[in-house]
Amino acid sequence: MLNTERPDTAAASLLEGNVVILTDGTPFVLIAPTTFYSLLQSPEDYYEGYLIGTLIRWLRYAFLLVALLLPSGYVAILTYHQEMIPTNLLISVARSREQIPFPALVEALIMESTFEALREAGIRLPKNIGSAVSIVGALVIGQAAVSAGIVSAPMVMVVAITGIASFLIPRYNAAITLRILRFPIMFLAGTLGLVGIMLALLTIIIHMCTLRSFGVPYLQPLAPIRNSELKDTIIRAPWWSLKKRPHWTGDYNKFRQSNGQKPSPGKGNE
Amino acid sequence: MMKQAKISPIQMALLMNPAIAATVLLLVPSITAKQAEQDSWISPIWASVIGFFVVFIAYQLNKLFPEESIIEYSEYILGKFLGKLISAAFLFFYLHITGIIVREYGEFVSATSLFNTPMTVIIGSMVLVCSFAVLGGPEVIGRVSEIIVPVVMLLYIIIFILLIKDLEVKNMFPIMEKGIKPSLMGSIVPQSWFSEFILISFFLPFVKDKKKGMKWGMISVCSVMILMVLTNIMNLFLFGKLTASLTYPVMVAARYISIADFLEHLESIVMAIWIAGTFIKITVFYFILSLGIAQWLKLSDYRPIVLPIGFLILLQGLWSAGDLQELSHYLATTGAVYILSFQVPIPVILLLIATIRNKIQQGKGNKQNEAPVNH
Repeated sequence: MLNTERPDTAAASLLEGNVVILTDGTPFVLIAPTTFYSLLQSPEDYYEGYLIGTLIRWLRYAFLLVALLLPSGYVAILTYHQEMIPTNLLISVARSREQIPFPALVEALIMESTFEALREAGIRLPKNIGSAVSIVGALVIGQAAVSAGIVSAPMVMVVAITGIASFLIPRYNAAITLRILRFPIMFLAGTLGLVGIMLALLTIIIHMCTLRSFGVPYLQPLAPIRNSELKDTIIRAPWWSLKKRPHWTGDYNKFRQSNGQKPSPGKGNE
Repeated sequence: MMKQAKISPIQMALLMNPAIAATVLLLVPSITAKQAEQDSWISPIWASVIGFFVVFIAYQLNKLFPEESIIEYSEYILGKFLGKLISAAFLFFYLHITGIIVREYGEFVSATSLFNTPMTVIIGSMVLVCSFAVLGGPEVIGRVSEIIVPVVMLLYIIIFILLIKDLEVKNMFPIMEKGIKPSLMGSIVPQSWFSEFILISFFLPFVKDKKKGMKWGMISVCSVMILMVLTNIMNLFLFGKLTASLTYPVMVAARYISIADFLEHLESIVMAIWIAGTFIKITVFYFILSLGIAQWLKLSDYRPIVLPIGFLILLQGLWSAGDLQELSHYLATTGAVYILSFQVPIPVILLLIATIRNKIQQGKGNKQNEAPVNH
């Protein structure tokens, strides 16, 4: 189930034919059923033009992968597949790693867990101290650790990009899963290289394929494929083309808006 | 329990595609090129004939027994003892084949990236992941392939496009210099792969829309054929007669890609593609093996025996060959005949006997129906 505080999300879900559950004493409503893609959609997608909405959505999908795989990919490439990096880049990475006492995996684990700790600390603290913590964190992680030779500068970059990427996911419950999954994937990358990452990805895909939410396959509409519904997942199709409700909820009343919504220049006699 | 899960015909087609093509893409170019030389791109077209034939037979058998797999109906057709014997042979054959596939995967991974990791770890981790998918059942396998196959295809086509710069069309000529024979000879090994389409007879009982099953089966064969032709053309244009002497031509081809001094050494992408493809291939074979054994022993559910079978597959993978040379040689020589002899004649004989028995029974039935009228 999805939870939301926003009335517009709840209204849009109702329009799609989902069930919205209101409970006394909480600002959140529950939306059922949930699919994987509804976790990645943000209401802002629908307020902009469809081209902008689509691009933002693609950015989000891309950074979903980054948030999940960047540290482990970095570890795997540095440990097992150095030949993949262009030579110049490899030299500069190697130079920055020269003085680091740890293997890439340990380095990544230290940095990632420090980052997660900082993030949790930032949430708990009141706003005024929170910013102080983030300054200390940025200084400690970014500057001091590099100059002390404990971690390499590229690693700091990797962790920072991963951190930013994980903020792109609009739902907390999806983002936290990514944060948790990142660690086992890093271990696999450190032991089996890219093969390990592939195995981890495959396992995640298998798991998501077995899931169902109130009878709806979790990865719907990508697997099983529903061509007509892909236009609201892969791209954000223009409003006027989203006539039908998703089929898993729309059996009762298929259409959510009437025909002929596409804007066009008026005919001569009108 | 087992019969409830349903997959769509498209899922079946997407699932069968890597189940055949995955290992093919790496090994076939060099094997066909040995026999067919510059005609190696024609060989898959000949070989696909057997694919179409096998799908046709599987579909006809499925029409007669819409809810059963080949293990179950061989008993109806041949009687209890012979049927059990044939399906046991079939199952042992699949155990062996799955072992070989797993070993191919292990050899590939250990040759390209994990040089020092023991084979047991490489194979074992893969079999474990596959067993998760098998435990999920046909629906899950279908969905996984729906996600993975398009991505794999896309990456593969991207590699092909990036290679266009280096391709030499001249390598293709003269077409059919020594007549049709070399390309036919080269098609024998791909034929053995195409005959693996008989696996479709295990999935047809799960397909929702039976009528479309045939159509999508054929589309699947077509797609595999196109993929193989593309692969062979790519390697032919790139390496010419060198192809035959390379073990993994596609891998070497990916090494050629160099664009803007940045996109280099894309063999890791080939590896990723290949791992995903082989994953589906192993899963399909693994699933069929578990399902077949469960049906053979008349178990109500196949899930409890999945993990033990995984262990057997792991052992088979370790024992099936000493090293890659042995494996490749085996596949190019005796293996082809071995695989073909199991997957084509048995279903054909089954179909023949079934149709004859049906005719006889219909004849009897008609006589019985007519009998009262005559009285």
